[in-house]
Amino acid sequence: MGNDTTAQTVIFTQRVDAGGVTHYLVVRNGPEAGRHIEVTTEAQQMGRSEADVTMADRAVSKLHCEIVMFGDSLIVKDLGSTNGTFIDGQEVTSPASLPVGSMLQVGETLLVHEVRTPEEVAQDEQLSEDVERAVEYVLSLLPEPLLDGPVRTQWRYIPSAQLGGDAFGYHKLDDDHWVVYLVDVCGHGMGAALHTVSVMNTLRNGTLPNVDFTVPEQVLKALNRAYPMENHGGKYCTIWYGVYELSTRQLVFGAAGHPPALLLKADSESVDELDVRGLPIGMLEDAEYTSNEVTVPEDATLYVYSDGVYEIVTKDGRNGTLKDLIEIIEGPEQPGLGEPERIEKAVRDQMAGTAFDDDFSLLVVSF
Amino acid sequence: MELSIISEDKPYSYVKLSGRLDTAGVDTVETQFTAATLGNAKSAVVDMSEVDFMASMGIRMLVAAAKRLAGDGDKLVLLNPHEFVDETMKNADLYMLIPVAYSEEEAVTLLGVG
Repeated sequence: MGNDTTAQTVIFTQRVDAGGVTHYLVVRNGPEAGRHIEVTTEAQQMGRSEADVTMADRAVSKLHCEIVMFGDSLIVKDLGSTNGTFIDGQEVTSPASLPVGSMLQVGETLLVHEVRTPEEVAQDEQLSEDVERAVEYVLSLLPEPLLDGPVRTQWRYIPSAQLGGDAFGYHKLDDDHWVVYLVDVCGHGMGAALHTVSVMNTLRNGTLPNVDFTVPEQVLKALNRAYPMENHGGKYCTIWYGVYELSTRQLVFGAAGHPPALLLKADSESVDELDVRGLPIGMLEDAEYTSNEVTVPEDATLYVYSDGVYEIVTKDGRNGTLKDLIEIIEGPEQPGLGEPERIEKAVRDQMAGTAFDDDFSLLVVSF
Repeated sequence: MELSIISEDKPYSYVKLSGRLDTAGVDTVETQFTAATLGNAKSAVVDMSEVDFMASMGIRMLVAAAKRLAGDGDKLVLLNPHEFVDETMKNADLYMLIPVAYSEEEAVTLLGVG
């Protein structure tokens, strides 16, 4: 993502106020999430500086795009900005319509064209502040990277604009066992985040009665009984849960509706998929879970991730797959970049637009 | 995201979903889908051949309908899922809750209404 200051984008808008409602561009991500930019009858320019509407986004050019109200649609024109302008993931190469409900991307900032009453705007801004606080709280639950010792970790967590339901953790269970897990709650927003926090605290504090936390199937079965979707707002979650035994280098793992973790051995160019099938947590009261195990050789690397890492729309318009992610992981290291950052960069290089639709959660564990 | 009612004259509900079954897609069709699959007091076939993406909220919509039908002794069967949807269903082990068929005849057999 470049930061060229010469390319220009200009935004022209027109206020439309019919029946007590007003058209807005609503910022959905980044530090200005929740900001409502009122569309006025006067043309406005949008850019990082020197514009009528300035954006706190380094990827936005000084003057970035041009929008004109035409009927009920905003017409968007990119004027050659460095990083482009996108509508619903499609790059604007000629003037294009931005209907109500569509997503405009300027730099890394996402804005939705909405028609709202002033009362609804005030309510939305309060909700956005709450989501920001929820993001901060979820971040506070994530452990610090472990740089030394028999288990080392690095991670990358990028919450989506609406905040998904991802979180992950790792900690010592006893002198010989470490646990690693990643949780992904269905849906977005506060409801998903609240459910995530609840499940995370259960795992962090080990508050499932009569459960041996070194046995994945016991943990998954107990979680499944503790969090039935009917009693939790229709929410379910997927989880990958692994326990590493230092003395034997055995990794025993289970999963509930979660894609497989990937193990890359130092002497191998291809990953092993650590796959165990099991229903997501909360879907079926009597669901049974199993575990599998693998010996972890020295210098092996484990990748645990959420589906938001690979479920992207690619630049050529197809849906990203797990196979794409595996190819990235099996690719060469990149000097100067940590492993999570290398993978994030490679995914972004494949992705249409620059903002993730779902949380991007990637945990890299070295043994 | 679109929902089409393929037939109302069969001993099962028969609907087709088209598009991306993500959060926005579910918001668009969930009410119609619930009415079309649960409102007829009979099992349901959901043609998924034109759904090229399914996110977690799409899974939730299908599972909720399948469980409601199961509570009444009925079933929900997916018909011809796209490769991407098929992988999602397999990863989440969901075919033990929602069986899949690759022809209407097979779906009818799975429903036990033929």
